[in-house]
Amino acid sequence: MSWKLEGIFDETEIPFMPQIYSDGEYSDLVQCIFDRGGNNMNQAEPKESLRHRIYNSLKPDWAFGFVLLVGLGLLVLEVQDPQEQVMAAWSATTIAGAAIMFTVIIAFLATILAALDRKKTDDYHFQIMANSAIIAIITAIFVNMVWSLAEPQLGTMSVQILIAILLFAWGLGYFFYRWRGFGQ
Amino acid sequence: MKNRLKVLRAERDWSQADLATRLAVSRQSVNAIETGKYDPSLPLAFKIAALFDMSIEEIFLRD
Repeated sequence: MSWKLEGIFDETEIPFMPQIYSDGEYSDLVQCIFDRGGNNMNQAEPKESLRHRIYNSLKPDWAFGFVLLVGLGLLVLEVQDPQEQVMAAWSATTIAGAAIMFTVIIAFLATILAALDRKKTDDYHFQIMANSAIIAIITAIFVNMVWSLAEPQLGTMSVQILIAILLFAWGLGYFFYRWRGFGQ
Repeated sequence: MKNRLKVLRAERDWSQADLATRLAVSRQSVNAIETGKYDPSLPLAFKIAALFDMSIEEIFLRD
């Protein structure tokens, strides 16, 4: 059996399942055209894969609606009832060292998980999540700057308030991109 | 970026959900591509082109 991709391989007929598409990121490409028996899927009724069914059950809209509400709730609660500050038992140098080490480890793990997330989840939703995360970071930084200017009236911003703003802005950014898109 | 996805899908009498299942993406992805809210990644564009047995340039057009 052979197949043809006009315009991609100069209209050369390629033997079925070429190496370039048989593994890695493009393996889905072959799977979306031919099933394991070599039947053309374009003619067949579509079958939902297990991964697709699992993904469909996740519902990112609901998840980010929840994130948005949690962020909003935390913000309101933290402003009304701020957590008491606990004095550190360790020296400043130890705390700085531990913070740097912990940040590097968590950032490394987050990078691995994000790469896995990108590979396994829907590209559209991953792009929305990533873009809205940028919105959230920018929002949190600017709100923190403005809050610092009004510190005598508002008091010092706690870490919990900053996290609440980050989550709230992430949820807002997600729904903003769902509504407007980012193709324009 | 404009595209002919909706027309090509209609020619085959596929719903957005049918196309999404064939491409192993969410129905929202197909809807977002069709309405121009989202430009697909290169691997997904290749997948779409392969599914319709066309080149990418025949499906996706520059503004």
